[in-house]
Amino acid sequence: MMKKIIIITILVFIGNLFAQGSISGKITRADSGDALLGVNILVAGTFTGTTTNDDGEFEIESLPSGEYTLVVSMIGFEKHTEKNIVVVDKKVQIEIQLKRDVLSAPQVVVTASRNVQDVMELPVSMSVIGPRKIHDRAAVNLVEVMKFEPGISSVRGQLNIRGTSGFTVGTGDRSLLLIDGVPVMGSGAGNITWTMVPISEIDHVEIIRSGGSALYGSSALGGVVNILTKNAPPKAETRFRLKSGMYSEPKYKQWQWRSQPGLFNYIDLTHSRPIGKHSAWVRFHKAKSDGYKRQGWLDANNITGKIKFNFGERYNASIFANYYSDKTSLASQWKNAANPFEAPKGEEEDHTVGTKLNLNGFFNMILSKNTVIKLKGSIYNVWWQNHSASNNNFVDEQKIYGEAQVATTLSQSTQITAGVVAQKSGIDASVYGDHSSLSMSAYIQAQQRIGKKITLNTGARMETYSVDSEKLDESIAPQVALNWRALEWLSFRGSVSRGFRVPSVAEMYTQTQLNIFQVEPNPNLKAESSQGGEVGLTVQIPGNSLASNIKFDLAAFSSTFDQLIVANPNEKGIIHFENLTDARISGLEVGLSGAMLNKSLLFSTAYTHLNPVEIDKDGSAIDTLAYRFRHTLVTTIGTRLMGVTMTLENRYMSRIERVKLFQENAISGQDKRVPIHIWNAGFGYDYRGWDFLFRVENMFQYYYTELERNMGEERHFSLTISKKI
Amino acid sequence: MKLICKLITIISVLVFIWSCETPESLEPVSGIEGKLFVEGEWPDSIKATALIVLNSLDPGNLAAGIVTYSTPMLSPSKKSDYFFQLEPGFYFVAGVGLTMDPVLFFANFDSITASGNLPIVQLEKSPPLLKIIDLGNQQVIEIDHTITFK
Repeated sequence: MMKKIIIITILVFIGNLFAQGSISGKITRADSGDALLGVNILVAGTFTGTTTNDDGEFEIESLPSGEYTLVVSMIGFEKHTEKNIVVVDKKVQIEIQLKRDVLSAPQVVVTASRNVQDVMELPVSMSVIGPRKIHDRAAVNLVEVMKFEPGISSVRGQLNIRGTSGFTVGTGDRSLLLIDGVPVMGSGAGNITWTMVPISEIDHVEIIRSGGSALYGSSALGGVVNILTKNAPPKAETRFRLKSGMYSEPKYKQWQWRSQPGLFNYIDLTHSRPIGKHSAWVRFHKAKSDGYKRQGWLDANNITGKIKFNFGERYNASIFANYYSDKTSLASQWKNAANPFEAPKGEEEDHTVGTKLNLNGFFNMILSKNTVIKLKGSIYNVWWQNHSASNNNFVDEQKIYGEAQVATTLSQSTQITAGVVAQKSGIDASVYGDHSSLSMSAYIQAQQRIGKKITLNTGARMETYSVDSEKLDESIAPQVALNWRALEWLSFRGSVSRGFRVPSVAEMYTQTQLNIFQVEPNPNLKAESSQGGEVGLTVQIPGNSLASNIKFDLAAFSSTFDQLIVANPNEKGIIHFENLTDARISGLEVGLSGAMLNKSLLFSTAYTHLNPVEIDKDGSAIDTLAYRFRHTLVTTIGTRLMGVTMTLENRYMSRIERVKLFQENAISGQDKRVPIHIWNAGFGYDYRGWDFLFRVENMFQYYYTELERNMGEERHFSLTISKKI
Repeated sequence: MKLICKLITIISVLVFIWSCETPESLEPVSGIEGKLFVEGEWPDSIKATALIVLNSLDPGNLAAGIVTYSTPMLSPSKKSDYFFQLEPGFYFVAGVGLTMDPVLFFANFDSITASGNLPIVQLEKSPPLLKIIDLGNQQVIEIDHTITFK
């Protein structure tokens, strides 16, 4: 052993002085021997890595002489670690076979540092959702899948990462949505349209749960959701998915309101194929639902496509296009507590019609073996109009986004990523007038390896923001984050960061009537900001046939928010959006998942405790923040045997302690709020390539409100059939 | 690995037991619903009308008995719908006129009711205008109500 160490040390020393080598090879499937495209290969303890080409081949060049370990991973396959590869001054050839593992989640991610990174070496808290989780829930809305992750909840469809957003009536989301790394959010209201996400074409989703704006700027105050879409497979294929189902009638006779059950149908049809060196897919999606309540119906069409260009070893590019049109019901609240599934009188026919068009793309240039330039751009157009008894409000907005990024590896232990971003919006809306906005920002981040076990990330972003050509604000957001991979299966992390969010045009300029209250503009609104930190640990054990894929994650966090923007009625009853509240959200997240008994029994649970409070200037708590759940517990238990899957899910959220609009009346019992206890179950069967999945959601017909006077979703049954042709 | 297996099993059972905690699902409510009509010409001094529900009737301190109130109908409207969610029991329902801007009134409702000086005019003080309701469990009583201005 000692002799080997001496030889390697000498080789490394001499190698560093004189020679460089490379590792190349081929990666195939263990079951069929087919080459695998897009496998991630990372040199452990360095920032060096690559992916396999169409033939499953890869090459990592210019490695100083030494002994290396390769970490090889791909979604749907077991992670493979190839150790003791000795490189001197020539090419080392290896061949690796990967075993199928449908349970495996992605082992490398790109969002946390804008570079490929092992999940065990992340300096911030992140959830990764692989395609299996999306499939097993037959989801049509990604939020329904995300809220089974630690720290994530939703209030009437609005995503909350660690409780940062609460409920903001469709304005000013505090979580940023990216599709393939490019922001996709409305510029007027600053909100996310989850229904236009092409859920059947998601490769995986990376969710940064730590707030901060150092890498992604405004709106990343509470976290980032990055949806990575699929690339077309090497062979042409057509896939379809049909999800059909029905809502139960309310279990109480007093609440029943229609003679026939409400139905819903969702159809996805995708064709993908290689085109020479390039590849493309196109997907058509149709959604039609009667809804579980009178004003809950939806009729939507969505066409999405992606072209991946391959211009050789040094250049590649991608264009993603998404067109979404919908006609959907509008409802502010139920008719009354005695008729919670019916619409208020006069609002029965209220609806909105809209279209959204998103084009985004990137172009990657590998300038040298150490330097990559990425150019990204997007166009996002949103138009909608209300057809309502009370108003015919409309919005027409366009947003153009451009980003140039350079990533360079200075040595095997230092990597720098820097970029500039410009974003321009034009808005014409009856509710907030004609306005334009411009934001310019620059960011830089350094990733430094300290020894083989510590990764240090330091970065900062500066952003200026102007509305109608007048400068509104400028902010600087630094971040320092550290990961210590103490053992192969155990890592610790800690980070401190600053975040900010500039107010949306809707928050500044909305002028409308809301019931008897008047909403007036506040053009003097300032950006809100946060300072926060977290510590956490991750344990990941491959295990054996008894217990495997064990993952345990623990995080404690605290963020202080300055000048939080809230809608607030003044003493005259006039509502403004104001920089009213300082707030602090602290909490704890625990996640545990794994498989037992030769992967036939699956288990995952996540608990989140939040303490969201408004604070005064001295930092003392004044009141609880509205629309936040103090306790959230989500649990999934499932079995998978001989093509048959069975799952049981439970979601518990404690009673929302504070709301803004309608307070509980203890004497009359009006506007009572209760905890949420939802049970779902699923039964799936895979028969000769036909995939059947039967699900029942809210199977015990539990009734609750997340938002005042809005009943939660009724029990519904669905059957999803999918097939690859 | 056996220890991890045992730990997961124990945690699963604990989580399952906790998840089975008695739920508190919302249930049908009791209440009064109907239409509020206004007949005659609105006086200039009345900015809005509303129905109030009282569980006790003290003519000297009306505010003490108010349980809830309907969304104000602004002058010069003639008709609106109302619904009161109430616990089972006895209630008085009366029409009132609001002598100040209803937006200002409801924005400062807590301080005004605490003062006891309500800017309202009791338009109906005795039966049959002042209605007495005996409300049962999960019962919704439908009553239309007319306020007449002379």
